Amino acid sequence: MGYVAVKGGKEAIEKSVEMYKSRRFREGHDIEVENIKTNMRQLINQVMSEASFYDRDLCALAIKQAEGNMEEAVFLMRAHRSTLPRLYYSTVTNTREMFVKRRVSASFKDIPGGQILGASPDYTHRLLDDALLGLQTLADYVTDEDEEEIEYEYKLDALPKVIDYLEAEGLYSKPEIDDTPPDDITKKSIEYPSSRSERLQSLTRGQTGAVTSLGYAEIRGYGFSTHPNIGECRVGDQPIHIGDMDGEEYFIGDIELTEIDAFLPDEKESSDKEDYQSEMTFNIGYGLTFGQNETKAIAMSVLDYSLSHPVENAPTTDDEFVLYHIDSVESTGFISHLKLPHYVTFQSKLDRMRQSGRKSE
Amino acid sequence: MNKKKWTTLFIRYGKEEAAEFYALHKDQMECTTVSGPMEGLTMIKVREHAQNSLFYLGEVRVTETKLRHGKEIGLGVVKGDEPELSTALAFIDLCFKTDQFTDTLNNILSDLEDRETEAVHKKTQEILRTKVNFDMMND
Repeated sequence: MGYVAVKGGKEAIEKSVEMYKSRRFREGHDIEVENIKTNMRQLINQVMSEASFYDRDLCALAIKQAEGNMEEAVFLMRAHRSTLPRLYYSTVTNTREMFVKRRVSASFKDIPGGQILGASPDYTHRLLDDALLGLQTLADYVTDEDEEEIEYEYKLDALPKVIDYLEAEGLYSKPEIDDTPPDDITKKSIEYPSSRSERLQSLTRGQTGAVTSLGYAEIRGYGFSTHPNIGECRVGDQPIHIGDMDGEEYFIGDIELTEIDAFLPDEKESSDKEDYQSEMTFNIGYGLTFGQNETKAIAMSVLDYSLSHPVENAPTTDDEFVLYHIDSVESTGFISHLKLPHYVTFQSKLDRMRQSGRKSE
Repeated sequence: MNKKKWTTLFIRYGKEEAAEFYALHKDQMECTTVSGPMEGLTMIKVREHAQNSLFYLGEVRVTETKLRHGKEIGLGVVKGDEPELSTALAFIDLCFKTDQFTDTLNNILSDLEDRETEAVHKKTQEILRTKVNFDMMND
Protein backbone atom coordinates (compact mmCIF):
# COMPACT_ATOMS: atom_id res chain seq x y z
CA MET A 1 0.00 0.00 0.00
CA GLY A 2 1.51 3.28 -1.08
CA TYR A 3 0.82 6.68 0.39
CA VAL A 4 -0.90 9.40 -1.65
CA ALA A 5 0.03 13.00 -0.98
CA VAL A 6 -2.94 15.34 -0.66
CA LYS A 7 -3.23 19.11 -0.50
CA GLY A 8 -5.54 21.28 1.50
CA GLY A 9 -6.04 22.40 5.03
CA LYS A 10 -3.10 24.84 5.14
CA GLU A 11 -5.15 27.72 6.50
CA ALA A 12 -6.97 25.47 8.95
CA ILE A 13 -3.62 24.20 10.23
CA GLU A 14 -2.27 27.73 10.67
CA LYS A 15 -5.36 28.72 12.63
CA SER A 16 -5.16 25.56 14.73
CA VAL A 17 -1.53 26.34 15.67
CA GLU A 18 -2.54 29.93 16.45
CA MET A 19 -5.36 28.73 18.68
CA TYR A 20 -3.05 26.25 20.47
CA LYS A 21 -0.27 28.77 21.09
CA SER A 22 -2.58 31.59 22.21
CA ARG A 23 -4.69 29.49 24.57
CA ARG A 24 -2.62 30.25 27.65
CA PHE A 25 -3.15 33.99 27.20
CA ARG A 26 -6.88 33.64 26.68
CA GLU A 27 -7.32 31.52 29.79
CA GLY A 28 -4.99 33.30 32.19
CA HIS A 29 -1.58 34.90 32.23
CA ASP A 30 1.81 33.80 31.00
CA ILE A 31 4.38 32.43 33.42
CA GLU A 32 8.16 32.66 33.35
CA VAL A 33 10.24 29.58 32.61
CA GLU A 34 12.14 30.25 35.84
CA ASN A 35 8.90 29.68 37.78
CA ILE A 36 8.48 26.25 36.19
CA LYS A 37 12.12 25.46 36.96
CA THR A 38 11.76 26.18 40.65
CA ASN A 39 8.17 25.07 41.26
CA MET A 40 7.84 22.01 39.02
CA ARG A 41 11.02 20.18 40.01
CA GLN A 42 9.49 16.71 39.91
CA LEU A 43 7.92 17.26 36.52
CA ILE A 44 11.31 18.41 35.23
CA ASN A 45 12.91 15.31 36.77
CA GLN A 46 10.53 13.04 34.88
CA VAL A 47 10.96 14.83 31.57
CA MET A 48 14.77 14.87 31.86
CA SER A 49 14.79 11.19 32.69
CA GLU A 50 12.52 10.16 29.83
CA ALA A 51 14.29 12.47 27.39
CA SER A 52 17.64 11.04 28.52
CA PHE A 53 18.85 14.63 28.38
CA TYR A 54 19.87 16.50 31.53
CA ASP A 55 19.23 20.22 31.44
CA ARG A 56 16.79 21.88 33.82
CA ASP A 57 16.55 25.13 31.84
CA LEU A 58 15.65 23.46 28.55
CA CYS A 59 13.27 21.08 30.30
CA ALA A 60 11.39 23.96 31.92
CA LEU A 61 11.13 25.59 28.50
CA ALA A 62 9.89 22.34 26.93
CA ILE A 63 7.25 21.96 29.65
CA LYS A 64 6.00 25.50 29.08
CA GLN A 65 5.91 25.03 25.32
CA ALA A 66 4.08 21.70 25.72
CA GLU A 67 1.58 23.19 28.20
CA GLY A 68 2.69 20.57 30.70
CA ASN A 69 2.07 17.65 28.35
CA MET A 70 4.74 15.12 29.35
CA GLU A 71 4.97 13.23 26.08
CA GLU A 72 5.21 16.44 24.09
CA ALA A 73 7.86 17.90 26.41
CA VAL A 74 9.94 14.71 26.14
CA PHE A 75 9.57 14.81 22.35
CA LEU A 76 10.76 18.44 22.28
CA MET A 77 13.77 17.59 24.44
CA ARG A 78 14.71 14.57 22.33
CA ALA A 79 14.35 16.67 19.18
CA HIS A 80 16.57 19.43 20.58
CA ARG A 81 19.10 16.90 21.78
CA SER A 82 19.38 15.57 18.23
CA THR A 83 20.54 19.01 17.03
CA LEU A 84 23.54 19.14 19.37
CA PRO A 85 26.93 17.53 18.75
CA ARG A 86 28.21 15.02 21.27
CA LEU A 87 31.49 16.57 22.36
CA TYR A 88 32.55 14.27 25.18
CA TYR A 89 32.03 11.00 27.01
CA SER A 90 32.42 11.25 30.75
CA THR A 91 35.04 9.30 32.61
CA VAL A 92 33.54 6.32 34.45
CA THR A 93 31.07 7.78 36.93
CA ASN A 94 31.20 6.17 40.35
CA THR A 95 28.00 6.77 42.33
CA ARG A 96 29.87 6.17 45.58
CA GLU A 97 31.08 9.76 45.12
CA MET A 98 27.51 11.09 45.06
CA PHE A 99 26.82 13.83 47.62
CA VAL A 100 23.86 12.14 49.28
CA LYS A 101 20.81 14.31 50.02
CA ARG A 102 18.49 11.43 50.84
CA ARG A 103 19.22 7.80 51.62
CA VAL A 104 16.92 5.17 53.06
CA SER A 105 17.04 1.41 53.36
CA ALA A 106 13.93 -0.75 53.59
CA SER A 107 16.05 -3.78 54.48
CA PHE A 108 18.07 -2.66 57.48
CA LYS A 109 17.12 -0.24 60.22
CA ASP A 110 20.66 0.53 61.30
CA ILE A 111 22.90 1.24 58.35
CA PRO A 112 26.31 2.90 58.52
CA GLY A 113 25.68 6.61 58.11
CA GLY A 114 22.03 6.22 59.06
CA GLN A 115 18.66 6.65 57.40
CA ILE A 116 18.58 10.15 55.95
CA LEU A 117 15.09 11.19 54.87
CA GLY A 118 16.09 14.34 52.97
CA ALA A 119 13.36 16.05 50.95
CA SER A 120 10.50 13.70 50.08
CA PRO A 121 6.70 13.75 49.82
CA ASP A 122 6.65 10.29 51.48
CA TYR A 123 6.03 11.71 54.94
CA THR A 124 3.38 14.27 54.06
CA HIS A 125 -0.41 14.02 54.32
CA ARG A 126 -2.06 13.55 50.94
CA LEU A 127 -4.51 16.33 51.59
CA LEU A 128 -4.79 19.36 49.37
CA ASP A 129 -3.05 22.31 51.02
CA ASP A 130 -5.31 25.39 50.88
CA ALA A 131 -2.42 27.58 51.92
CA LEU A 132 -0.90 27.07 48.47
CA LEU A 133 -3.83 28.89 46.88
CA GLY A 134 -1.97 32.02 47.85
CA LEU A 135 1.72 32.76 47.46
CA GLN A 136 3.98 31.43 50.21
CA THR A 137 7.46 32.40 51.29
CA LEU A 138 10.41 30.38 52.56
CA ALA A 139 9.72 31.63 56.07
CA ASP A 140 6.35 29.86 56.00
CA TYR A 141 8.08 26.49 55.83
CA VAL A 142 11.51 26.80 57.43
CA THR A 143 12.13 27.05 61.14
CA ASP A 144 15.07 29.30 61.78
CA GLU A 145 16.07 28.00 65.16
CA ASP A 146 19.61 28.02 66.43
CA GLU A 147 20.09 24.27 66.26
CA GLU A 148 22.83 22.16 67.73
CA GLU A 149 25.79 21.00 65.67
CA ILE A 150 25.30 17.40 64.50
CA GLU A 151 28.28 15.08 64.79
CA TYR A 152 28.77 12.61 61.97
CA GLU A 153 31.02 9.69 61.14
CA TYR A 154 30.78 9.67 57.36
CA LYS A 155 30.93 12.55 54.92
CA LEU A 156 27.86 12.65 52.70
CA ASP A 157 29.99 12.12 49.59
CA ALA A 158 31.61 9.03 51.09
CA LEU A 159 28.75 7.08 52.67
CA PRO A 160 29.26 3.31 52.68
CA LYS A 161 26.87 1.31 50.52
CA VAL A 162 24.44 -1.07 52.15
CA ILE A 163 25.68 -3.87 49.86
CA ASP A 164 29.07 -3.53 51.57
CA TYR A 165 27.33 -4.73 54.74
CA LEU A 166 25.84 -7.75 52.93
CA GLU A 167 29.23 -8.54 51.46
CA ALA A 168 30.86 -8.40 54.88
CA GLU A 169 28.22 -10.87 56.11
CA GLY A 170 29.10 -13.23 53.25
CA LEU A 171 25.60 -12.92 51.77
CA TYR A 172 26.69 -11.19 48.61
CA SER A 173 29.76 -11.46 46.43
CA LYS A 174 30.76 -8.38 44.53
CA PRO A 175 31.25 -9.27 40.85
CA GLU A 176 34.55 -8.70 39.11
CA ILE A 177 34.99 -5.33 37.44
CA ASP A 178 33.65 -5.58 33.88
CA ASP A 179 35.16 -2.97 31.57
CA THR A 180 33.41 -4.15 28.41
CA PRO A 181 32.64 -0.98 26.42
CA PRO A 182 28.89 -0.34 26.71
CA ASP A 183 26.55 -0.37 23.73
CA ASP A 184 24.84 2.91 22.97
CA ILE A 185 21.20 2.66 21.87
CA THR A 186 21.27 6.26 20.61
CA LYS A 187 23.85 5.21 18.03
CA LYS A 188 22.70 1.70 17.19
CA SER A 189 19.30 0.10 17.63
CA ILE A 190 18.95 -2.62 20.23
CA GLU A 191 19.61 -6.13 18.98
CA TYR A 192 17.90 -9.06 20.69
CA PRO A 193 18.83 -10.75 22.87
CA SER A 194 19.90 -7.40 24.33
CA SER A 195 23.12 -6.68 26.16
CA ARG A 196 23.01 -5.55 29.76
CA SER A 197 24.18 -2.04 28.83
CA GLU A 198 21.40 -1.76 26.25
CA ARG A 199 18.82 -2.85 28.83
CA LEU A 200 19.96 -0.38 31.47
CA GLN A 201 20.16 2.54 29.03
CA SER A 202 16.72 1.70 27.68
CA LEU A 203 15.15 1.31 31.14
CA THR A 204 16.54 4.56 32.53
CA ARG A 205 15.05 6.54 29.63
CA GLY A 206 11.80 4.59 29.64
CA GLN A 207 8.46 6.27 30.18
CA THR A 208 7.91 6.53 33.94
CA GLY A 209 4.39 5.07 33.85
CA ALA A 210 5.34 2.22 31.53
CA VAL A 211 8.42 1.22 33.53
CA THR A 212 6.44 1.39 36.77
CA SER A 213 3.51 -0.63 35.40
CA LEU A 214 5.72 -3.38 34.01
CA GLY A 215 7.76 -3.50 37.22
CA TYR A 216 4.51 -3.89 39.14
CA ALA A 217 3.29 -6.62 36.79
CA GLU A 218 6.58 -8.43 37.27
CA ILE A 219 6.16 -8.55 41.04
CA ARG A 220 2.47 -9.51 40.78
CA GLY A 221 3.26 -12.72 38.97
CA TYR A 222 3.94 -12.13 35.30
CA GLY A 223 7.61 -12.90 35.82
CA PHE A 224 9.70 -14.35 38.61
CA SER A 225 7.16 -13.02 41.12
CA THR A 226 9.45 -12.23 44.00
CA HIS A 227 9.07 -9.32 46.33
CA PRO A 228 12.26 -7.29 46.16
CA ASN A 229 13.71 -5.59 49.19
CA ILE A 230 15.11 -2.14 48.66
CA GLY A 231 18.57 -2.34 50.10
CA GLU A 232 19.26 1.28 49.44
CA CYS A 233 17.53 4.24 47.83
CA ARG A 234 19.84 7.19 47.31
CA VAL A 235 19.17 10.64 45.92
CA GLY A 236 22.08 13.01 45.57
CA ASP A 237 24.31 15.22 43.51
CA GLN A 238 26.74 13.28 41.35
CA PRO A 239 29.95 14.94 40.14
CA ILE A 240 30.62 14.38 36.43
CA HIS A 241 34.10 14.49 34.93
CA ILE A 242 35.55 14.28 31.46
CA GLY A 243 39.10 13.49 30.43
CA ASP A 244 40.61 16.54 28.76
CA MET A 245 43.10 16.57 25.87
CA ASP A 246 45.99 16.15 28.32
CA GLY A 247 44.39 13.12 29.93
CA GLU A 248 43.58 14.96 33.16
CA GLU A 249 40.21 14.70 34.87
CA TYR A 250 38.07 17.81 34.39
CA PHE A 251 34.98 18.50 36.50
CA ILE A 252 32.05 19.79 34.43
CA GLY A 253 29.29 19.94 37.06
CA ASP A 254 26.93 17.98 39.30
CA ILE A 255 23.72 16.25 38.27
CA GLU A 256 20.98 14.95 40.55
CA LEU A 257 20.48 11.18 40.42
CA THR A 258 18.34 8.53 42.10
CA GLU A 259 19.98 5.16 42.65
CA ILE A 260 18.36 1.91 43.79
CA ASP A 261 19.95 -1.33 44.91
CA ALA A 262 17.15 -3.90 45.19
CA PHE A 263 17.93 -7.18 46.93
CA LEU A 264 16.45 -10.30 45.39
CA PRO A 265 16.98 -13.66 47.06
CA ASP A 266 18.44 -16.37 44.90
CA GLU A 267 19.31 -20.02 45.39
CA LYS A 268 22.50 -21.52 44.10
CA GLU A 269 23.98 -24.92 44.47
CA SER A 270 26.34 -25.34 47.36
CA SER A 271 30.01 -25.24 46.48
CA ASP A 272 30.43 -28.21 48.81
CA LYS A 273 29.86 -31.24 46.54
CA GLU A 274 28.70 -33.40 49.43
CA ASP A 275 26.28 -30.81 50.65
CA TYR A 276 23.12 -31.28 48.64
CA GLN A 277 21.50 -28.24 50.19
CA SER A 278 21.31 -25.13 48.07
CA GLU A 279 22.73 -21.89 49.41
CA MET A 280 20.62 -18.78 49.76
CA THR A 281 22.31 -15.73 48.37
CA PHE A 282 21.33 -12.30 47.10
CA ASN A 283 21.28 -10.77 43.67
CA ILE A 284 21.04 -7.06 43.02
CA GLY A 285 18.57 -5.36 40.72
CA TYR A 286 19.89 -1.95 39.75
CA GLY A 287 18.09 1.31 39.04
CA LEU A 288 19.56 4.71 38.22
CA THR A 289 17.72 7.73 36.85
CA PHE A 290 18.26 11.42 36.23
CA GLY A 291 16.65 13.57 38.95
CA GLN A 292 14.61 12.41 41.92
CA ASN A 293 12.55 9.62 40.34
CA GLU A 294 12.31 7.03 43.09
CA THR A 295 9.34 4.99 41.89
CA LYS A 296 10.76 4.70 38.40
CA ALA A 297 14.22 3.80 39.69
CA ILE A 298 12.75 1.04 41.89
CA ALA A 299 10.74 -0.34 38.96
CA MET A 300 13.88 -0.17 36.83
CA SER A 301 15.75 -2.27 39.39
CA VAL A 302 12.97 -4.88 39.32
CA LEU A 303 13.00 -5.04 35.52
CA ASP A 304 16.80 -5.06 35.42
CA TYR A 305 16.73 -8.24 37.47
CA SER A 306 13.83 -9.84 35.63
CA LEU A 307 15.31 -9.22 32.18
CA SER A 308 18.52 -10.87 33.34
CA HIS A 309 16.56 -13.91 34.62
CA PRO A 310 14.08 -14.80 31.88
CA VAL A 311 11.16 -17.09 32.66
CA GLU A 312 9.38 -18.89 29.84
CA ASN A 313 6.14 -17.19 28.70
CA ALA A 314 6.58 -14.34 31.18
CA PRO A 315 6.16 -11.04 29.30
CA THR A 316 7.99 -8.92 31.87
CA THR A 317 11.14 -11.02 31.51
CA ASP A 318 11.05 -10.76 27.72
CA ASP A 319 13.51 -8.03 26.76
CA GLU A 320 11.97 -7.48 23.33
CA PHE A 321 8.50 -7.00 24.84
CA VAL A 322 9.66 -4.67 27.61
CA LEU A 323 12.29 -2.56 25.87
CA TYR A 324 10.32 -2.05 22.64
CA HIS A 325 7.33 -0.64 24.49
CA ILE A 326 8.65 1.57 27.29
CA ASP A 327 10.15 4.36 25.21
CA SER A 328 8.00 7.49 25.47
CA VAL A 329 8.65 8.89 22.01
CA GLU A 330 8.29 5.51 20.29
CA SER A 331 5.07 4.49 22.04
CA THR A 332 3.28 7.84 22.22
CA GLY A 333 4.46 8.66 18.71
CA PHE A 334 2.94 5.50 17.29
CA ILE A 335 -0.30 5.67 19.26
CA SER A 336 -0.88 9.36 18.56
CA HIS A 337 -0.14 8.97 14.84
CA LEU A 338 -3.31 6.90 14.60
CA LYS A 339 -5.37 10.10 14.69
CA LEU A 340 -3.57 11.47 11.62
CA PRO A 341 -5.19 10.97 8.20
CA HIS A 342 -5.28 7.32 7.11
CA TYR A 343 -7.85 7.99 4.40
CA VAL A 344 -6.32 5.74 1.76
CA THR A 345 -5.67 2.74 4.00
CA PHE A 346 -9.15 2.96 5.50
CA GLN A 347 -10.84 3.39 2.11
CA SER A 348 -8.97 0.31 0.94
CA LYS A 349 -10.35 -1.68 3.88
CA LEU A 350 -13.83 -0.36 3.18
CA ASP A 351 -13.58 -1.35 -0.48
CA ARG A 352 -12.57 -4.89 0.47
CA MET A 353 -15.48 -5.15 2.91
CA ARG A 354 -17.94 -3.84 0.31
CA GLN A 355 -16.65 -6.30 -2.27
CA SER A 356 -16.85 -9.24 0.10
CA GLY A 357 -20.38 -8.11 1.05
CA ARG A 358 -21.47 -8.10 -2.60
CA LYS A 359 -20.02 -11.58 -3.16
CA SER A 360 -21.94 -13.02 -0.25
CA GLU A 361 -25.27 -11.65 -1.58
CA MET B 1 46.34 21.86 42.65
CA ASN B 2 45.22 19.46 39.92
CA LYS B 3 42.71 20.28 37.22
CA LYS B 4 39.96 18.15 38.76
CA LYS B 5 40.14 20.23 41.93
CA TRP B 6 40.38 23.73 40.46
CA THR B 7 37.60 23.12 37.95
CA THR B 8 35.42 21.84 40.82
CA LEU B 9 36.11 24.93 42.92
CA PHE B 10 35.42 27.43 40.16
CA ILE B 11 32.33 25.68 38.82
CA ARG B 12 30.72 24.98 42.20
CA TYR B 13 31.75 28.00 44.21
CA GLY B 14 33.53 30.59 42.07
CA LYS B 15 31.61 31.48 38.93
CA GLU B 16 31.85 35.19 39.68
CA GLU B 17 35.52 34.96 40.63
CA ALA B 18 36.32 33.15 37.37
CA ALA B 19 34.49 35.82 35.35
CA GLU B 20 36.21 38.64 37.27
CA PHE B 21 39.64 37.06 36.81
CA TYR B 22 39.04 36.74 33.07
CA ALA B 23 37.81 40.32 32.77
CA LEU B 24 40.85 41.67 34.62
CA HIS B 25 43.51 39.61 32.83
CA LYS B 26 42.24 38.92 29.31
CA ASP B 27 44.05 41.96 27.87
CA GLN B 28 47.31 40.97 29.51
CA MET B 29 47.69 37.66 27.68
CA GLU B 30 47.18 37.47 23.97
CA CYS B 31 44.96 34.59 23.05
CA THR B 32 42.78 33.62 20.12
CA THR B 33 39.54 31.72 20.07
CA VAL B 34 39.85 28.23 18.61
CA SER B 35 36.17 27.42 19.05
CA GLY B 36 33.11 28.38 21.01
CA PRO B 37 31.50 29.11 23.23
CA MET B 38 29.39 26.35 21.74
CA GLU B 39 26.69 24.05 23.07
CA GLY B 40 27.11 20.33 22.95
CA LEU B 41 26.53 17.11 24.83
CA THR B 42 28.46 14.90 27.17
CA MET B 43 27.36 11.28 27.39
CA ILE B 44 27.57 9.97 30.94
CA LYS B 45 29.20 6.59 31.40
CA VAL B 46 28.35 4.85 34.68
CA ARG B 47 29.52 1.76 36.51
CA GLU B 48 26.54 0.01 38.07
CA HIS B 49 26.75 -2.07 41.26
CA ALA B 50 24.84 -5.21 40.37
CA GLN B 51 27.31 -6.62 37.82
CA ASN B 52 30.03 -3.95 38.05
CA SER B 53 29.54 -3.32 34.33
CA LEU B 54 29.36 -0.07 32.37
CA PHE B 55 26.38 1.58 30.72
CA TYR B 56 25.37 4.95 29.31
CA LEU B 57 22.97 6.88 31.53
CA GLY B 58 22.13 9.74 29.16
CA GLU B 59 23.48 13.08 28.05
CA VAL B 60 23.99 16.42 29.75
CA ARG B 61 24.13 19.76 27.95
CA VAL B 62 27.50 21.46 28.17
CA THR B 63 29.10 24.66 26.90
CA GLU B 64 32.61 24.37 25.52
CA THR B 65 35.21 27.03 24.69
CA LYS B 66 38.79 26.58 23.44
CA LEU B 67 41.34 29.39 23.51
CA ARG B 68 44.90 29.32 22.15
CA HIS B 69 48.06 31.07 23.33
CA GLY B 70 51.13 30.06 21.35
CA LYS B 71 51.09 26.29 21.11
CA GLU B 72 48.90 25.78 24.14
CA ILE B 73 45.14 25.36 24.08
CA GLY B 74 43.01 26.16 27.09
CA LEU B 75 39.77 24.23 27.56
CA GLY B 76 36.59 25.42 29.23
CA VAL B 77 33.73 22.93 29.59
CA VAL B 78 30.82 23.29 31.97
CA LYS B 79 27.33 21.86 32.41
CA GLY B 80 24.48 23.98 31.06
CA ASP B 81 24.31 27.17 29.06
CA GLU B 82 27.35 29.00 30.46
CA PRO B 83 29.19 30.89 27.70
CA GLU B 84 30.93 33.36 30.06
CA LEU B 85 32.04 30.72 32.53
CA SER B 86 33.32 28.33 29.86
CA THR B 87 35.35 31.16 28.31
CA ALA B 88 36.77 32.13 31.71
CA LEU B 89 37.64 28.48 32.44
CA ALA B 90 39.40 28.13 29.09
CA PHE B 91 41.43 31.25 29.89
CA ILE B 92 42.29 29.98 33.37
CA ASP B 93 43.35 26.61 31.90
CA LEU B 94 45.60 28.50 29.53
CA CYS B 95 47.07 30.51 32.43
CA PHE B 96 47.97 27.32 34.31
CA LYS B 97 49.46 25.74 31.18
CA THR B 98 51.61 28.78 30.41
CA ASP B 99 52.35 29.53 34.07
CA GLN B 100 50.89 33.03 34.03
CA PHE B 101 49.03 34.76 36.89
CA THR B 102 49.21 31.51 38.85
CA ASP B 103 49.87 33.25 42.17
CA THR B 104 46.68 35.25 41.76
CA LEU B 105 44.78 32.12 40.75
CA ASN B 106 46.10 30.14 43.71
CA ASN B 107 45.01 32.92 46.07
CA ILE B 108 41.52 32.86 44.59
CA LEU B 109 41.41 29.07 44.83
CA SER B 110 42.53 29.17 48.43
CA ASP B 111 39.57 31.44 49.24
CA LEU B 112 37.27 29.14 47.30
CA GLU B 113 38.49 26.16 49.32
CA ASP B 114 37.39 28.00 52.46
CA ARG B 115 34.05 28.71 50.85
CA GLU B 116 33.74 25.03 49.91
CA THR B 117 34.41 23.92 53.49
CA GLU B 118 31.75 26.29 54.79
CA ALA B 119 29.18 25.37 52.13
CA VAL B 120 29.64 21.62 52.53
CA HIS B 121 29.40 21.93 56.31
CA LYS B 122 26.18 23.96 56.08
CA LYS B 123 24.63 21.59 53.54
CA THR B 124 25.66 18.53 55.55
CA GLN B 125 24.14 19.92 58.74
CA GLU B 126 20.90 20.77 56.96
CA ILE B 127 20.60 17.27 55.46
CA LEU B 128 21.59 15.44 58.64
CA ARG B 129 18.72 17.14 60.50
CA THR B 130 16.53 14.71 58.54
CA LYS B 131 18.48 11.69 59.77
CA VAL B 132 16.28 9.29 61.74
CA ASN B 133 17.16 8.87 65.39
CA PHE B 134 15.61 5.54 66.32
CA ASP B 135 16.40 6.03 70.01
CA MET B 136 14.24 9.11 70.02
CA MET B 137 11.42 7.21 68.33
CA ASN B 138 11.32 4.84 71.35
CA ASP B 139 10.98 7.66 73.88
